[in-house]
Amino acid sequence: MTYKKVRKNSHATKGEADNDLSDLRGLLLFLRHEPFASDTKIWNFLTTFDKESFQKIFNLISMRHSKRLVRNEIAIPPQKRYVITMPFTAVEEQHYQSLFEELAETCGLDGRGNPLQGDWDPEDPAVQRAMRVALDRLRQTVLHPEVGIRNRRALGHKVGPMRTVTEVLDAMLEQTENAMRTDQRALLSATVVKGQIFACQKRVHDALSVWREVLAKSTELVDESRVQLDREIREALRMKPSVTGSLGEDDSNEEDDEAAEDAVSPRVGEAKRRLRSALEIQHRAVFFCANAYFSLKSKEEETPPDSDQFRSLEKMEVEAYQRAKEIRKEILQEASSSSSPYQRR
Amino acid sequence: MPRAKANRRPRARTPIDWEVTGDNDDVAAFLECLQSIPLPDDAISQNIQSRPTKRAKTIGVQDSICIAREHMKLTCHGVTTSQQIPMTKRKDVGYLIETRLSQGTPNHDHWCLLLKPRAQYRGRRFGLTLPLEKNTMTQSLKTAMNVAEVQALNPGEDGCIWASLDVTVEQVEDSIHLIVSIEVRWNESRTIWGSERSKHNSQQSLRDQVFETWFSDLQLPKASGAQPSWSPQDFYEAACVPDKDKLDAAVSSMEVPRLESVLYPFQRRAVQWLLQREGVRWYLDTQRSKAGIQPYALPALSDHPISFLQIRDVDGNPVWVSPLLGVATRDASLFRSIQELRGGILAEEMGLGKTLEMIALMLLHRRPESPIMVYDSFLGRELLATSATLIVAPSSLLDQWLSELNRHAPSLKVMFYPGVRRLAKLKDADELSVERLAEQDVVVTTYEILRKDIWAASDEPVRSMRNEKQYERVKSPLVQLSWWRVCIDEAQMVENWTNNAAKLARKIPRVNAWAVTGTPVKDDVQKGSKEFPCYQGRS
Repeated sequence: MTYKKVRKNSHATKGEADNDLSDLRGLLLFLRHEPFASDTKIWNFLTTFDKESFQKIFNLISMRHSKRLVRNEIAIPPQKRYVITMPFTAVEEQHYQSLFEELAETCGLDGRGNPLQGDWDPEDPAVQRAMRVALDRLRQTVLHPEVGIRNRRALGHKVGPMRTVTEVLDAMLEQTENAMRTDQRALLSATVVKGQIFACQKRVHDALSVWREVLAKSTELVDESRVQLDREIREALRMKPSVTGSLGEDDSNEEDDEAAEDAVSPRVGEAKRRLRSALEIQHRAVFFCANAYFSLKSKEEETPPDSDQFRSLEKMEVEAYQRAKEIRKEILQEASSSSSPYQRR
Repeated sequence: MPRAKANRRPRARTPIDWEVTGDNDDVAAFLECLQSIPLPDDAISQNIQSRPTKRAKTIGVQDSICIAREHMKLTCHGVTTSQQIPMTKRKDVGYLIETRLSQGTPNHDHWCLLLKPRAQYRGRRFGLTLPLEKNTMTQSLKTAMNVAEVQALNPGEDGCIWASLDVTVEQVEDSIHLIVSIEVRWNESRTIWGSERSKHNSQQSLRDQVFETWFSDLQLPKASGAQPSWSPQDFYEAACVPDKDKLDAAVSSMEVPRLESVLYPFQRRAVQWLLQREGVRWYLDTQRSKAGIQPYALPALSDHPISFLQIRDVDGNPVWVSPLLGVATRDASLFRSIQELRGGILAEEMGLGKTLEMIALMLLHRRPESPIMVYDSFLGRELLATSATLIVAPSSLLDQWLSELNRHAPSLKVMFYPGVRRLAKLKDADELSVERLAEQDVVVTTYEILRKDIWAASDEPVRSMRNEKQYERVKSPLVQLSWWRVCIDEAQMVENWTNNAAKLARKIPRVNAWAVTGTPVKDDVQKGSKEFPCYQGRS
């Protein structure tokens, strides 16, 4: 029996560790009111079971007048309450709408509130949970796009809180662009696989044309990403000197500088990642093309050895493999350059 | 209860032992074991009351309080010995002999005592199971034996509960009589911290058992299983409201020198309370028409420290125990110091002038003449004493503090402390040296700066170096001064009390410490937004 009780208690105290009293404990820690503050067990006992001691302690060390108590002693100027309705800005409206649609979908509804499926059941616990989450997030979003853990996460990790609508817009643009890139990459990957299926069916010409198509698109993508990376790097360089230049003005300035220092490199990193993923796709396309040239070349009935066609195919094959090798090198360059100094040691 | 316990351990002996056993060999081995225990040096001082523990293991004298004393009489019949066994009496046998109570299987009010040697006993092994006399089992005895089973030797650490076992053996014709005396002892605490061991769960459960058995009226309600409910209201109800009738007579004459504003009566009472928490008060002598600040000793809340209650030990001497802290002591004065905190929490409702009250306090109560260097026991260092008050505020309230200080008390010398990083960048480092800060009346800084200063405030790690240190490590002035007063404003803004700002705030050397906040308990933003009153669809 005793043991049972003890077990239960330890559980109960653990559960209480995270109650809304942690603020008070913080104050006691600051005041160094020992041993109540530092000893977690004692603090939990104090706040869960020993209310008498709790009252004595806080009656001794804390003081509070409420307005109600001292009303007769003060002349509080009459208070006016203004309610100001704030319309959404265009950005906020857009953000809210897209969030609304997304959340409606998680509840199994379309944007107008009609069920997406015939058997939609409003009593289903999963639906109700989704609705509660949706309501929560929408309410929080009305206040600020970043209120609420989920909403903050949805907007991506940022160094500090977003202060302006422009920042929110940037985040939204960035997100949309990321989503587009992901889709694009998935499409290209799928196309590469399509080519592989053709190749398995011995339809080498079909496969080659599919892969060439991927190659063209991914090359475009690589060029685009390269330009963007250049831009980001230049941007980062432009920010840096201004950081060192404006030292020692006032504190808020320093804050911004720090934020910038942290924020610049992730953007360059993001561009690098994008280039790398484009290169990966391009590499696969080039490599498979070379593969196709080889297959065509080795089909003796179509291309007899020593024919012109055979030679041109061979040349293309070698070139393509060479190019694939170069792309691989580029992909691995960063990893190797960052690790080689250590290897040389 | 003990049965459940017996199941928890692998039983050393087969179930047949549940029957009364103890053949001649076992008895003889037991007696050998008992006789191997040395007698106390002076056999005369066998006065149980003053008996200190004798084992060399215990370093220093650990005073313990005797909670309960229980006896058991056991008889072993039909023993044949070659010679009469002399009467043998040994104290504190728990370190060699293990004891356990067990309940008879067929008959539940039939109890047995199991005796066997502990692992470190080098001699012949034995196992004795002796029946207790009928109807002698009590809850006290059960608990006492339970303590003896868990902790039969003095752990020599503060706050631990243990049992001492004394055994007397006597032969009467062909039966052997065994008297086992158990004393449940509670080591006195010599610090407020308690020892490591006393925080173990096993000690915790022993304390629970002791309270349940002997002081059930003092027990915390935790065992009742009631779910504790806690609301921020509990804090607001607990917080002190200065007594208007008691204070107004003296306080109405309060004049704060150099304060540009007039205090409301309730603010004067608040300032009086603040002064009292710092060990002084405003007094008015109507006969001599004198008024001013005089030392004030906080009235003892009552004659015992918070959470302590008086009980009687087994001999009727008064003893103080705290169910909350899990300690027992004969002299409660050690624990009285826990409520000698200078400062506290000023939790006036929003808009009632917390800032003004703090400014009035700064003006009224200055640091008395003191040596230039004072020893800070928290950091363990000698520090330069300053009469300045350090104010830590959220960055957003920094300007407000500066302007309020300027408006209400323009005579105060105020300085903003921008952090060591900024100090290092200044061309003229003396501008904000420790000495300069010490000359101020008020130094204002922010949590943000505290957070950044933590690295300069912690002691550098000790490491051996091949060469002499080349660079002097920068030290944050915040920890190089013994501040007269530290005041953290809107303390609830420090969301997480394990973060660096909070760690440094705790560390800052000070005489008086104040946490100023209108909402000491609050729900966080995430929760708050759930209570958003109404929702209007926007689509």
